[in-house]
Amino acid sequence: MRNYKKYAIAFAIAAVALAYFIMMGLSVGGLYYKDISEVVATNEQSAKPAQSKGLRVAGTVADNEFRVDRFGRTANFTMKDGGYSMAVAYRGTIPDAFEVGAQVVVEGVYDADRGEFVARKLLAKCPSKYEAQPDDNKL
Amino acid sequence: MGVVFLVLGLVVGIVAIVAFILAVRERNDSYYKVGSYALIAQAILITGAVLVLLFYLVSGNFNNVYVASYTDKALPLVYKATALWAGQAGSLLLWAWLAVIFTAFELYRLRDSDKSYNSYVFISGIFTTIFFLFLCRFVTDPFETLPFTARDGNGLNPLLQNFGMIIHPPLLYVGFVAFMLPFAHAFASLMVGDVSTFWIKMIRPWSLFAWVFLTAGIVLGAWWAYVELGWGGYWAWDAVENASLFPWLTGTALLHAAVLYEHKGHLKSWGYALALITFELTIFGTYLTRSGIMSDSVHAFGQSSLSNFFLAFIVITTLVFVALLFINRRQLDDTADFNFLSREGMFFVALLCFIALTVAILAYTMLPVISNLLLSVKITVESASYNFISIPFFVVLFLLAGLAPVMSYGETNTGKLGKAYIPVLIVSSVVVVVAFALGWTSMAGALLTLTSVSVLASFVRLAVIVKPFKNNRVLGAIIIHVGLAVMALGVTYSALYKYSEDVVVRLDDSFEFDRYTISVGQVRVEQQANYLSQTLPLTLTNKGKKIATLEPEHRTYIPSNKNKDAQTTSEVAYYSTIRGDVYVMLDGYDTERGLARLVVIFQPLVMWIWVGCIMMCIGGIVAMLHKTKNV
Repeated sequence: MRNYKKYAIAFAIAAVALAYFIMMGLSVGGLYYKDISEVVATNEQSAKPAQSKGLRVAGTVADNEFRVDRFGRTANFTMKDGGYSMAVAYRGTIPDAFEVGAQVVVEGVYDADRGEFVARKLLAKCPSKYEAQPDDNKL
Repeated sequence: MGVVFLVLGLVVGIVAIVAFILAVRERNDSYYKVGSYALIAQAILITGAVLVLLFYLVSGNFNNVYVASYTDKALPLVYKATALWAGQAGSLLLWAWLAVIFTAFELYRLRDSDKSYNSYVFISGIFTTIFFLFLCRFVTDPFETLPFTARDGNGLNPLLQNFGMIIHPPLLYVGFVAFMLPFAHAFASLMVGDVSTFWIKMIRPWSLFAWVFLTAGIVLGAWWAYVELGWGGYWAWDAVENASLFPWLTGTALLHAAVLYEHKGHLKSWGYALALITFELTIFGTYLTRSGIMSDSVHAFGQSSLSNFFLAFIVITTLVFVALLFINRRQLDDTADFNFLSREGMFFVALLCFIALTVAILAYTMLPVISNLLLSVKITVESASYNFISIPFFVVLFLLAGLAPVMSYGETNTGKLGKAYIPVLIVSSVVVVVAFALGWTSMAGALLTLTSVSVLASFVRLAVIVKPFKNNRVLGAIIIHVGLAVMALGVTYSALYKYSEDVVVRLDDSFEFDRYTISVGQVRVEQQANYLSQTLPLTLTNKGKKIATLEPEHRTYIPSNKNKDAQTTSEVAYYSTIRGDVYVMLDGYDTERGLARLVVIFQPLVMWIWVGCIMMCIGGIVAMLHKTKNV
């Protein structure tokens, strides 16, 4: 029985440390994940900036505005999702898979005055093996 | 043809399970024989199904949906064959095949042990096989046909046309599926109510086998990302990467818990729990990648109805197992004396760390889902959070791994402990001081260096003292931990101290980077089998001496199917030394203006990661060769 007490104490210490580190880690790299509709509609005061470094937004690259300078490493494009769209300005290395129609994830802040999302990170989804999109069978 | 194999495979699987149940209930050897033959038949039938699919892929049978979705005529033969695991249906069939082959192998290995126990091992193996066969037959059928024969297929994504694709997925699958066996044995031992060390001895080769494959698979995936994806990293804390890490962490914990169980009879219930959790996490990983809940992962997943089946499987098997643990709880009492300042004490705290680390990474991976449920906001975390949370646990784990070899089982004499540990501590501190002097001054880096070098020193000391060359088990453990320390240093230094430069340079000009001069040549365009290659040759010289030629490349893949768009990929080039890698990506070029734009990265000690991994795998194989008595 003595052992169980020892185990339990160690377990409790580990659990407390774990909870502490999980919460601390959130302030290090926590991001709000928002839909385009939420980003465009809400004013930024509603997001708690103390807890978050920025926003992560997913969507599809629209074809109406698509200015990419791979050489100059800038991209200005429109992202759309669920009937809403948002202008994005990005500076940095452009991923290979980035093109019109690609699914992308951007991280950064929304500049409400200019109506533009300033992205510091751009991820284009790797069309990986698990993809099961219906139009894939368009042969 | 393939469908026939699947259906028959399902039928004989059910026959086998019924036969084994009857064999236990009636204590009847002829039922046991029937079950055994049915199991062998199932193995043969699923092998047949795999061969049929392989034949379709290689011969380009574009009447088959799977073949048409993942290959095309232009694809090199090796990628046609490996398209077997490029898609969902194929991977599930592969899973079923591995499960049945491993189970059938136990038929041979368990030929002399108790038939009731064996029956339960086979029942759980066959049950899992049937589950995957069922998914293949009724949810995602690899043998589904088109109403017509397509002229050509969709082709395989260029990013997947890489050596990594040939070897990374099957390594992971073998590792995942092999963790089914520890579960099967744990289940069997609980069913027959024998919680002696028999099952834990029986699972050791399987846990090691699975662990070696998982280690190799994960690191190979990291290497693949490093050479193929062109961002200079090898680990991004992506949901899919994490999914392969969960069973690795708990599987590593299982290996350590098994030592406590076998030698000291401590924490028996933890041994069972970890066998269960590791198995469920291999399934959970598969669930995670298919559920569509991880929408921000760079691996794009199709949401599919499969996820519910996986969830159901996890819930059912867990409930049954937990109920069995509850029934056997009195036998699992831990009565032997336990001291924290002992080798088993270190093991125990390490188990806690492994579990805490798993929970932490799992919590962050699932955070968008959890926060959405609790707070109706989706919160997610960047790599920084993952690094933040894993560093302290790894520091503690390395500290423990450095301490455990200088401690003894039972109770440790503190005087002896000090005498053994002080040299280890001195060596580690010297390395930290040297690293500081060389300008590597991060706090996390210092802690990780101190502790991982202590692992290295402690195990080398152990090797000198115990001369383990006749005992594969000890020798294997030493090699694994030395490899672990080497890898830990590689990860620490390459992650913390890498630096990159964006360079715009004239063609035929040169620039300085790190200690090298890099001279740029002219862009070379070549037509390859199924892509157009544009290469920029770079010559690396050090003090006027030519060292290497790097050829970063742009590839334009032109699919043989005219309806499909061309796709481009960047192929990085790198020059590896033990000191670090010079890693170059061709970001763009303009032949009219005569300019090239490059990203050049120096990453210290990257090679140590790959070397460390190879050592860990060799150590695992050595340990596996150890013959345990009465097995």
